[in-house]
Amino acid sequence: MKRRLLADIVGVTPSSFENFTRCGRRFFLADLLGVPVSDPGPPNDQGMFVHEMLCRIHETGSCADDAHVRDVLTLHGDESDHMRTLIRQHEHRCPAAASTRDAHEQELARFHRLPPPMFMATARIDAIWIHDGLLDARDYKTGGLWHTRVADVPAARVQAFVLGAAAAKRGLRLRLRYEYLQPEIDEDPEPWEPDADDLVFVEEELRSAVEHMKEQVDWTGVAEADVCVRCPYRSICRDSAAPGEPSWPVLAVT
Amino acid sequence: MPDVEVDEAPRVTPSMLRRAETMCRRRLAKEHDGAKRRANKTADARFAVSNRLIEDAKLAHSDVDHLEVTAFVEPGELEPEQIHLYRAAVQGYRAVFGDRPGRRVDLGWRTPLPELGVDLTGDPGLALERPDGSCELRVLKLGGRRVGAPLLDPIELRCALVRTEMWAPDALHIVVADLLEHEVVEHTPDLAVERAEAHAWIADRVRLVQENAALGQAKAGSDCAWCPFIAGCEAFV
Repeated sequence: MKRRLLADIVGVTPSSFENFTRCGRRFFLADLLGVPVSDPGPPNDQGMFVHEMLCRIHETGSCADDAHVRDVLTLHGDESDHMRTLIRQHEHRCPAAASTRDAHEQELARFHRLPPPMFMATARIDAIWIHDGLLDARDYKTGGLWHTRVADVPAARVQAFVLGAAAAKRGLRLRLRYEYLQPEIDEDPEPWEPDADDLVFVEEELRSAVEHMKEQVDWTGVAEADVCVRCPYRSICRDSAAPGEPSWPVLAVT
Repeated sequence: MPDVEVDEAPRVTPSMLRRAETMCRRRLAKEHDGAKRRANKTADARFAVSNRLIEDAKLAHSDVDHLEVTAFVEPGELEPEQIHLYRAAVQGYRAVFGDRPGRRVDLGWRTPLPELGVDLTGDPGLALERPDGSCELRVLKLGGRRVGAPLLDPIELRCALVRTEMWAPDALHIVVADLLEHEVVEHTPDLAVERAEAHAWIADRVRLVQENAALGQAKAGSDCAWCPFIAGCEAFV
């Protein structure tokens, strides 16, 4: 039976668009076929935990209140110095004092209808503050720093597209900032404040990408060693320049 | 062939029961109503390997006392990476169940719950009658579990207990296996206690599904990704 790769209305997320721009085959495997990764990176438990803690700290108090931060971390079983350091890294950049409203772990969606093809962009935004005429959206990061400007990050295109509509509806300017929480990263990438023209360009970029997805037949990979060596499908990918043995534990069972 | 509408009760799935409070109520209402058949098309390629594995496992379990391993045939129509996955999954299946034959039993796709006015739908797993006459349900996973999520999911377990009630009224053994991670959990439920709890929990959740589905208002968010009911949605007019 012929399987359907793409929905009538294609779903686009920051990570799927990032995959698509990085390598068509990676997008095909991860986002269309749902193949479990064969070469996973290090676990991201701590990153997920700090995201959850920042959400809870802000929803129930202030990150500037040391006693409150300690209480939340204690309640969730991590009072380590490292976790306190990560929270403090955010506190230095938190706009809460100037903000009139905030929201955390927000799921946003925006539909593109015309010109075809249609697509549905969705994104989960770590935190949003409204202050000084800005819709100030933050994406907390605990991994490596790869870009010096948020505007250059493919995933940020999808975030800006969904946030742009929310900002325009409230008569606010959008600012998208990536907050790197590890103390060893001195400087965040330059935040992005896309204007209306930028957002029109972003919408067309996403539409064009979806059109390209619909035209694909072979889903060819980039097959470049420096790209493939970091790919979580490098050992099984048809087009890999860094093939190997998948790390699925069952393959070690005799 | 004429398009015949089968008279079916509204349906609930494990996913709807799990997410009754948080799901977009418009999507919840339409899925509860069974409107998916009339929706815009969604992608289904991501189920190709797991569906194929299950179908082959069913064929492999045609005889009660013998696992027919030749039933696992490499799916040449799939992509090379999917074939890698299929091979690993078959290796995992044989490692866990290779010496545990049984004859497969078809549980169908739905269990009517007339007292609640709904059908509980979905595949609870591979149901087998073992050579000693006992009933075993195998729930097969292919990686992808969230950090900290239990292999034996409590909601899937409750639904499985209700879906198997007619077939295994007195005794049931459940095996959940992640065939890639080579992790296995076995559970022999106290059926009187656990089925009663499962029925009560499902009844509570069905009421919540019905209440929220009746409200039916759309909420733009992550549910919109891959939603089959975008056409006509008031969140995007």
